[in-house]
Amino acid sequence: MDEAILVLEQVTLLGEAGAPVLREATAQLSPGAKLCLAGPAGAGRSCLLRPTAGRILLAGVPFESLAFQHPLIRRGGLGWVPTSGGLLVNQTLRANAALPLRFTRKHSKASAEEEADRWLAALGLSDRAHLRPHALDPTDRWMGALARAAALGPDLWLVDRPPGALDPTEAQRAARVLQEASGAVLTAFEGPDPGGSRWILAAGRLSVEESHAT
Amino acid sequence: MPPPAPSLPHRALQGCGRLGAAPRKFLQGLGSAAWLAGLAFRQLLRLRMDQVGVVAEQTLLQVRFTALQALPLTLLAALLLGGITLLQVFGQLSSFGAEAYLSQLLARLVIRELGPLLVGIIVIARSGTAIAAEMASIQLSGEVDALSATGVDPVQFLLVPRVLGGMISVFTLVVFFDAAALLGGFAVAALRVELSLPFFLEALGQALGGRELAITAAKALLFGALVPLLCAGFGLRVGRSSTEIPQAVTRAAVISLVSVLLASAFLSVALYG
Repeated sequence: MDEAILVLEQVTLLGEAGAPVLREATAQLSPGAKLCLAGPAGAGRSCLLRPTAGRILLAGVPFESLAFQHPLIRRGGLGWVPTSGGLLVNQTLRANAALPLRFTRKHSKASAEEEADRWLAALGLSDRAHLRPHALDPTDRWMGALARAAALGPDLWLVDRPPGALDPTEAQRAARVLQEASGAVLTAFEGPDPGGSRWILAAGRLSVEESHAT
Repeated sequence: MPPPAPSLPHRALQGCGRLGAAPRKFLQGLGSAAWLAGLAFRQLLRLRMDQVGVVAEQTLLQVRFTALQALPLTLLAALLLGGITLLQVFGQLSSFGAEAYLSQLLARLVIRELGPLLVGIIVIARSGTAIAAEMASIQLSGEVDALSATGVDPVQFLLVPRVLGGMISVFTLVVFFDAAALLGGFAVAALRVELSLPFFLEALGQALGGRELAITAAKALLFGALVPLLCAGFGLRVGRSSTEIPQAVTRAAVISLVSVLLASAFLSVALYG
């Protein structure tokens, strides 16, 4: 059996207000799995990689919170899509999407931007590729971050919920990109596999719900 | 029951503690800059050849903003300052019949002290504050975390180009500043006394040696590294609220200014005193 790409061991998380939102949770995500992390707002889904106790393993190697000095991350193996997008404000959308490829995968500027353009087109952002994040609406910034992650082709996707409701076309495009991803995908919303397994984060506990399709 | 009022010795100690707050903050800023300098240097050495191009692009952007866009202001300040300084010095020297020393005095004043110091102040006002605000903003919006999570080292991508860009920019601006200030001084002097350009340049050559120029270059490079390090350090230390951004910018500007003044005074006393 393949080694789990993400393992939580006795993990405790503190929420924004400093109160524990998850206590001593243990779970693991297999390579290629598509999972939704469900739970009420404020349950702590956004701070999954910031445990105050316990251990997180990425591809079998312990992950130090905040340091991000991890072999999987250094080689661009993590597709991180925060709600805000986390795009650099002084770079265009194209440059933002191309940057990790240039920095971690040794792509030339031209080839990284070509790859970035491909994913921006897949997500319907071609006409906004030359814009900087402040000129985009929050949903486009989130989709831009999705394109940046897709361009890397990561082993593990951690995708926070979009900042607002996606229109049907955007939702379809995002779902297609996540469905076709070869890496494991953990989304904080009903993502690429609506009827599939879920991790449910509620009342300080993490439970696993197998396929809930009816 | 209300808590008892603090005793006089306790209040005196509190007062002493408040007196020490400003130097403590200053030293904290310097400590943070020294730590960031070490980090930036280490990560600069760890850059791979394929990453150099990305960092060079960012460095050029910083040079464009810090040096190129500041050049008109720097030249104007230098021309005016050279002329005004010469006017003041002229009155003193002419009363002793020592006009022949005008160019030497101007050269020493501008090249040794005023050039690096005033360029440092211009760079703090224009670029240091911008770097502090930018770093605080990207820290608050989660861009630093997002960069790290996608495998881009924030020290290599954000800090190293700003420090290199700052060093190149301050050095370049000091060269232009000194040239313009000497030119401004010559223009004013030529209006007052019989002074030819070849004579002025010859006197400059006698007044300045390689040591002066090397010390000025060292000051420029030091200030060019110090200002981005201090300003980035204060910007990156914001917590969670956008109301901290203006506070961080003010603190960065004040501490940078004090540091540049102190460093300039220390180097001058140590090397010329």
